[in-house]
Amino acid sequence: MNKLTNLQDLIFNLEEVYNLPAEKQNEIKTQLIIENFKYHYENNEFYRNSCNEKKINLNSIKTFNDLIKIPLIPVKRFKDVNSHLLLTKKLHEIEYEMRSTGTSGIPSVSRRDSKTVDNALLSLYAMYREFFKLSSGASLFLMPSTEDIPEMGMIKVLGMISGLTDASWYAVKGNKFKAQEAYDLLEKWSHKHTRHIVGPPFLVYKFIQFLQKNNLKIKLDKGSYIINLGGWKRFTGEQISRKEYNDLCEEYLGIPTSNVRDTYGLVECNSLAMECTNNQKHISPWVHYSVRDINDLSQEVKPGERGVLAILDPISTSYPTFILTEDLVYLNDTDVCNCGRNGQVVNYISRVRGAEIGCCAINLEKQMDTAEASESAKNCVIV
Amino acid sequence: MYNNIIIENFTNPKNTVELTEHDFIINTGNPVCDDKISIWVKLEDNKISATRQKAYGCATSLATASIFSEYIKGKKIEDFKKNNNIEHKAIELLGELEPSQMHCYEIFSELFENLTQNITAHVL
Repeated sequence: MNKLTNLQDLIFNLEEVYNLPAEKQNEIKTQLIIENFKYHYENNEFYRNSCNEKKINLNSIKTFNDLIKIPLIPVKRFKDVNSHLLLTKKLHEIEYEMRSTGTSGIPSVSRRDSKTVDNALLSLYAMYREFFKLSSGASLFLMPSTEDIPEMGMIKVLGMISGLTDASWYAVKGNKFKAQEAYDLLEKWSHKHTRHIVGPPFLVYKFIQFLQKNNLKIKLDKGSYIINLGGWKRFTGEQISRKEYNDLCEEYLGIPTSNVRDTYGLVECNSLAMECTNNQKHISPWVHYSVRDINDLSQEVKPGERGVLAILDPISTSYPTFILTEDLVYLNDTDVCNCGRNGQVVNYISRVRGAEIGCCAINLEKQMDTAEASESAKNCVIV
Repeated sequence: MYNNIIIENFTNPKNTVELTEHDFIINTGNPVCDDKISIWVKLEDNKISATRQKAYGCATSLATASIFSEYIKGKKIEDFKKNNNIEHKAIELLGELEPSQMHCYEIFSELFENLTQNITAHVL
């Protein structure tokens, strides 16, 4: 462990990096973030001008304690019609566009060049391997496939799991959730594969409701996981209770809470925080989460206190991923987790007041609901 | 991935300035990638005298809005009575697109169809 000087070293030695003391992790990620800040400052006129307006230059950011001074891009800026200004790379170097759409219907589009795609894919797979050790089994995706919705962030990121398992199937086709077929497939895979369920919480919840309604129960396998992304808020405004959800997963899918794993991330960023066996969401060690005082965004709150999340992610070369989110969170007040990993652990609370309620999952639920309502209307017989 | 026409129009979008007056707005989009395009149109002296565009979505659809708003500017009302062979025009103006971008040819055609309907309703 003597050469953790670049991102690839961290990605390929993730387990060892998580075992390092938090202070050492901070030292390593500080160097990466400073290098990345320097790169964007020198190559992105829009960002450099924003920095200069705040009287921040390359000499301003030298240590871990300086990271708070890095100018942040509000996440809603990615929805602007002139979001091209955010790009550090020219459009001809952009390889992939990814989006997330909330209730407003205006997509947030993030554009990645080849190097950023390499880094993001490698780091996401490294995180999946670190937290789930998947290399076989079968994945039931409770969501549409990337073929149906190719640019939606949540689907792209969760869909990567199919590359780690031997069989996979997507249970949402043409905006319809195929619950019976999903159940039949899980039965068919029984005693052949370790079965995993992957998707946003609202669809897992919907699947459990289907099982309840039909008096069905499934006993998944010893190494099975339920892997979630997309948040716990439904587009109706209803909040799915995590405790109730965990209990239902145990009762109807036969899976312990320790294997019900939520993840957290933004389409604009390049990493996901993933839950360990203690349901603690660990941040990738090259990323820094800075929780800001809601009344003064230039100040951080103490670990354990709620605030607005700012993300400093040194992976991207296509645009500065120094982002002020619209999410309220708090960090654990200890850097040590019982799972053995060290470093930051995030706890999501809610969207900040006034922010658009929206993400890929909410948009997907809205689309499916609209399709269902339209189908019901067509089938409605006038009497 | 992007041809030079798309790069130019994405990087330097045309007709983004708000119009003080307009006669109608046309809208279109693509539900698969949530593209949304609005074009404001001002008619004067039997022609389209001014346009404004606003677009959200992938880079190619943003460029399409810019290209379309520029293409229709100055067009005479009587031109909308003719067969404009718009599918061919879309390919000519947007250039060669990759498969994942080709929905923008359709967006271009939809915008033109929508525009023709509005002009018919307003003038013809």
